[in-house]
Amino acid sequence: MNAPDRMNSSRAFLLHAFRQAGVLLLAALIPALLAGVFHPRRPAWSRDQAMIPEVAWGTVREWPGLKLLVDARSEEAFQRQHISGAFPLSEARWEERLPAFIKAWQPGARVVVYCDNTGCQASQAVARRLRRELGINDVFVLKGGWGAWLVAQKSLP
Amino acid sequence: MRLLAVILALLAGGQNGRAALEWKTTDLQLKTEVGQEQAVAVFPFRNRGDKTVRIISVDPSCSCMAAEPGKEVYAPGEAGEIRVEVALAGYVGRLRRSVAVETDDATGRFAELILTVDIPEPVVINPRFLLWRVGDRPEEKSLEIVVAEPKTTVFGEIECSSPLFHARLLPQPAGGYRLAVEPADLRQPAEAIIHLPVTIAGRPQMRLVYVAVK
Repeated sequence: MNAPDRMNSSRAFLLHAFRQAGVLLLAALIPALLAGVFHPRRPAWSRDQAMIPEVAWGTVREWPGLKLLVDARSEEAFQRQHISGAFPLSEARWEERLPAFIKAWQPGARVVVYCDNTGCQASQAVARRLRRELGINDVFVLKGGWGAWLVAQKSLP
Repeated sequence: MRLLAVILALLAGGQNGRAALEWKTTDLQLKTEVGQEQAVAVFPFRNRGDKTVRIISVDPSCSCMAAEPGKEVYAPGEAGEIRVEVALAGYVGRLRRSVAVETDDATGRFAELILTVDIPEPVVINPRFLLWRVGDRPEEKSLEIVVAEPKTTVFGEIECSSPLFHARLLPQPAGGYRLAVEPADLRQPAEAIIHLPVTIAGRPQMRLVYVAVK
């Protein structure tokens, strides 16, 4: 086989490989798109409920000005242990705890809500209600929740 | 052709790793009535494998839930269910929670059961908090009250916990209400709770609105 023939042959091989890779990608993309649109547990970006932005504890610690930590876990978990200065406000005891939260909140304060860990949904739910029911816009969710805060404490000098 | 064979082989391989427990559904949606305090969901399953399956743990994602299997061990072909109870007090709107089920089945150790509960909001007050800043000019602010069933919803006399705020409930021509509140004095901090008694389908309830000067 001479040089031009070898070049043509390798070009054809590459073309064939790219085509096969394209077909494989397409085969994966179709079910992925269908799942993204129709799956009941599709990613948050496609759900009707807006996600409250998450913020890491390191960032919260450095924030200047007023901040109010809200513990969205169960009352029992709060009583066992909580972040110093945090305020208990779970959905289960929403009406009971709300007046004291409003009393504690000051205009301009950033509110950071946490629950157990990355998998819990209580902090997002409480944060959404604070925005919707009280009209407080500076509401955030602590990334990784109580678990992440515990880890951050262990790494302190 | 070879490519197709590879894809089919991969899909067939996936089928071999199928979990023993076959769930009728892992995603349930419940609708509740106004004032309902608890919802119950049942996730039926069957052991389609050829070995017994032991349920090691059933772990709800929220302290508002209790979940348990009928029993621990299921023989091949045997059916069972996970019963989930959700306490609804305090919750409104759409509640989405999950239950993690762990078994000793090597091919499908974990299953995640999703439960979505729609809790009706017969009266939506938006927002429930009105704020004035100290030193501002006293002016009336209002909030909107949307009523889902106007024929069966009746508001009573509203009461404000402080004489420093004057509140009025105004029916709107297009339906619903507007709660107008005016503070008497904005020179110093003040706060109050406005009580809105409402009877929904014969059931008396209380809605609260918070007002503050800060």
